[in-house]
Amino acid sequence: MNVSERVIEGISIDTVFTIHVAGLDIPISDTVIASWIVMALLVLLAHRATRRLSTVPGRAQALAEALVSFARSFVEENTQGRGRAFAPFLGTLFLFIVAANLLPSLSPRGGFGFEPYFTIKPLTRDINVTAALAVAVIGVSIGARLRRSGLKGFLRSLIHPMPFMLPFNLMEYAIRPASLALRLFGNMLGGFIIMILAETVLPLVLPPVLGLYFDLFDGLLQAVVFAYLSTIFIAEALE
Amino acid sequence: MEAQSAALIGAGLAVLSGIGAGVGIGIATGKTSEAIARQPEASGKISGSFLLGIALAEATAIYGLVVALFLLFR
Amino acid sequence: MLRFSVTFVITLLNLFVLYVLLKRILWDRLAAFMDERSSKVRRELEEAGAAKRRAEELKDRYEALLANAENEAEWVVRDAEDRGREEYRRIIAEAEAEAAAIRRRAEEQAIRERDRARDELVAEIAALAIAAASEVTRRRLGGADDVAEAEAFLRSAETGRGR
Repeated sequence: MNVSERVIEGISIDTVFTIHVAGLDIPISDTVIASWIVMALLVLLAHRATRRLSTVPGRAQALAEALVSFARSFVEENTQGRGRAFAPFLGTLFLFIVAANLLPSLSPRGGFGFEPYFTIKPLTRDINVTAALAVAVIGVSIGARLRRSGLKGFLRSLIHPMPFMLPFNLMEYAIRPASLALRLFGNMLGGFIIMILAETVLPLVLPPVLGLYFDLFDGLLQAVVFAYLSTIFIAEALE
Repeated sequence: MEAQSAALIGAGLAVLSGIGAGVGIGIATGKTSEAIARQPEASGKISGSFLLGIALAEATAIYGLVVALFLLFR
Repeated sequence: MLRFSVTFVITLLNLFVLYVLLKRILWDRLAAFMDERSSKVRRELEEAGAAKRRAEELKDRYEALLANAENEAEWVVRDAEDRGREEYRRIIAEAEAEAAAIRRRAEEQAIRERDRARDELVAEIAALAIAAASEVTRRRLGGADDVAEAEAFLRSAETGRGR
């Protein structure tokens, strides 16, 4: 198997099974299954951290508390205290992306004739996943603007400085989710392809070193950037 | 020229967008260092806007990469 | 590769479900717990502050009382010392006065004794002289001269006694 075949196999998205509901065929891709695993993991960890709340927190609870208070203060600081209600959404988004970026690098990998029972490939290599996240963010920011200033305020914001800005303002609602989705997608897919190349060129030596950057650092950084930009979009909608 | 060859050349050209992103991120990093050296107490806010800036500057390189990948693996 | 698929819709649903679940078991639960705890801590801190203030007030009062008591004790001791010293002086003075009185009485008695001894001596001498004189007179009483001489002697004896 040559390099390009390995890359193509790595980035291709497989349909694991298909659900037939009401005459519709719903293909379930491996990225959907991976995101279900990520969700289950997050819910289990959250449940474990908050199952027994004690005044003096244990390790899991202390971590969860740090996360909650950081998310609240971060969102509040960036929205001038108006966006407190959006902290859970942005925090959930952040947790999902962090887990989605880090979990695949912890999963077993094949090679040297070894075939693992399962492997989790990065779910952010699927543009549909990142696009869904970005569309959710833009949808929430539009909802925030509607709730803050009403339909009239929302329409007025479209022609904000001058009426001829309308097309540009409308374009912004397409460009923002596109750039959010493509940034996460491109970074993670690029990193993933580079990791595949590294495994091909110098297995066992290059992957752990490069993995520190492309899997851990870049995965965390992209999650931070995604959550940060989302916070800023929502803060702008709340002005 | 075959379509496949043209696509490969196009992919190579598309990833040249990385140059712009590299220059942009370099300028942003340099200015951030200067700003933190001048006002170390504002380093939190500065690195916040730095992160935002490099995320936006990086976007062009990512667009190039996506275009290249699209051309390669149509 | 950049192809729309149903994964997009499923991921939107996934995100919504995850949001609802995490909001319930993580965000709201922990936020409520932390808010309640911080308000409880604040309340307890306030209570502790009030208790401390009260304790300090009490301490000040006790210290003032204690200082008063110390002053009073000192005053009592000084008073007792003063009175003791006065008593001492009084006793010494009394003793001295008594001693002086005793000495005076002793002196007076001594003088009286001496006078009485002298008087007795004089009386004895006078008696002896009278006896001698009567003896002499009885033996050679005849002339008037002798009588006069005897009387003069007696007188002189009397004056000597009277002295």
